[in-house]
Amino acid sequence: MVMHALYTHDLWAQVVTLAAAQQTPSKPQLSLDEFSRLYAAAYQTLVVVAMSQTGRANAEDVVQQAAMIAWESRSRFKVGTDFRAWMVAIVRGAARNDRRSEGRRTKRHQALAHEPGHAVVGFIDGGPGPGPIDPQLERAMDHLNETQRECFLLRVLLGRTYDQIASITGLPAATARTHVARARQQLAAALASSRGAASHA
Amino acid sequence: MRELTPQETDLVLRYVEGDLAGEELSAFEATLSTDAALRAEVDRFQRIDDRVRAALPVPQAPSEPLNFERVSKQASTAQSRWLKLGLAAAVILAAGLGGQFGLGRYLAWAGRLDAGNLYRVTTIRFEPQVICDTPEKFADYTDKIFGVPITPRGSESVHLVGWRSPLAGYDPEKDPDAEGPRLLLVSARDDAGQPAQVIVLFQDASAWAPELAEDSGLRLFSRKIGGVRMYEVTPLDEPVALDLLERGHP
Repeated sequence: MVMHALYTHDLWAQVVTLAAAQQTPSKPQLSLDEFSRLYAAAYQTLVVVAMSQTGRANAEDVVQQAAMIAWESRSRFKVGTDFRAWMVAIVRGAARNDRRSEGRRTKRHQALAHEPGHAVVGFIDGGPGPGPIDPQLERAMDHLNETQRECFLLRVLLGRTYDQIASITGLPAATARTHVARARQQLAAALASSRGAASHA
Repeated sequence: MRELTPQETDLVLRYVEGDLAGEELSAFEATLSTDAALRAEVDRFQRIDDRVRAALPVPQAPSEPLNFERVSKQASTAQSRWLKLGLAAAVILAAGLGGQFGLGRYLAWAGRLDAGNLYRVTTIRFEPQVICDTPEKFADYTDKIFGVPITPRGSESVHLVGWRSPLAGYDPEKDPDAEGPRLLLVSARDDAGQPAQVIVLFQDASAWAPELAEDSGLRLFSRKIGGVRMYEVTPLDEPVALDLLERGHP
């Protein structure tokens, strides 16, 4: 029994040491001012990356959530390295979570809508956000994969150069260029197809 | 109107992109003025860009300065309570691993704590010391040990397994590590008795999501409960234990 307790205590100590080591800053950390400045400079890029992953409605929320996560884990950021690239990775993770939550909310919403006595008038947690301004375009955007959307939106909405897109996405510049060209063609085809379907209807 | 060749489409795309220059640009613009099909294609792509810009306006960065400190203070009040849970729960990890793996082997294998490895090792031979098979027992247990009654609510298909904890006699007032590791670990089991979820509260979990590759079969969910960001690692499509705790938290 004593041995077991010692063994357990020893294991506990190792967990504490390990977890504390992960949290103990061993390098200079960003101050709030520095973080705010870098965040503001990267903000539009982050919103566009979020848009490409989750759509327009949730993009700003996702970026704000990512900012909170980033601030809490700022000890992992190496001062002097590419803040924007670090934040982009966090935004992608937050966007992925958001998509799953959104799917879950939708499923609950649908399930409740079929349950007798439940008149679902909206989502409780956060609300559905602003509706699509251009639903036809949003549907067409769904034809693109995430990488195409991200490259295309960075290019069209923010006018980023391909070298800049490469540094944001981690892709070679030539590949980013190809993604943008394909995205344009696929969007054109999808929009033409939806126009055709509408005129047939 | 005639269909463009792939070479012409490529030229159009490069023109729209502003990639043509010099003689190539002059030649293309000369053709453009006389070729209606080429002109129409250029217009079509440019209209798409305009339409995207109109539909997706990019907001400016907020003018208000960030104020994470205020949020952090709010969270830390709640975390001081949850810390007690975390301290005990970390022992659950140690105890759960002790029998089969030994933490040393785990650390050697995992290299560091990450969501995927944490899930895998804690769902192997996790043998709780206390099994709370009703929400009331769970609340009583957390109240007795930590002074925080947590009543999981809302599911009959999943119940939370109790905590294997050697912390009986743990005195939070003597806790010297107020800023220490925050790590909450709960294992939930489905009706078949299979470990289904692991919830982890950990201050620095931002790097987990990228590590949970699509083919890992695991998903990471996040939610703020009681002012604290919590993460659930699960092979299921939806978080279960987060839902239970969220509903039960006052």
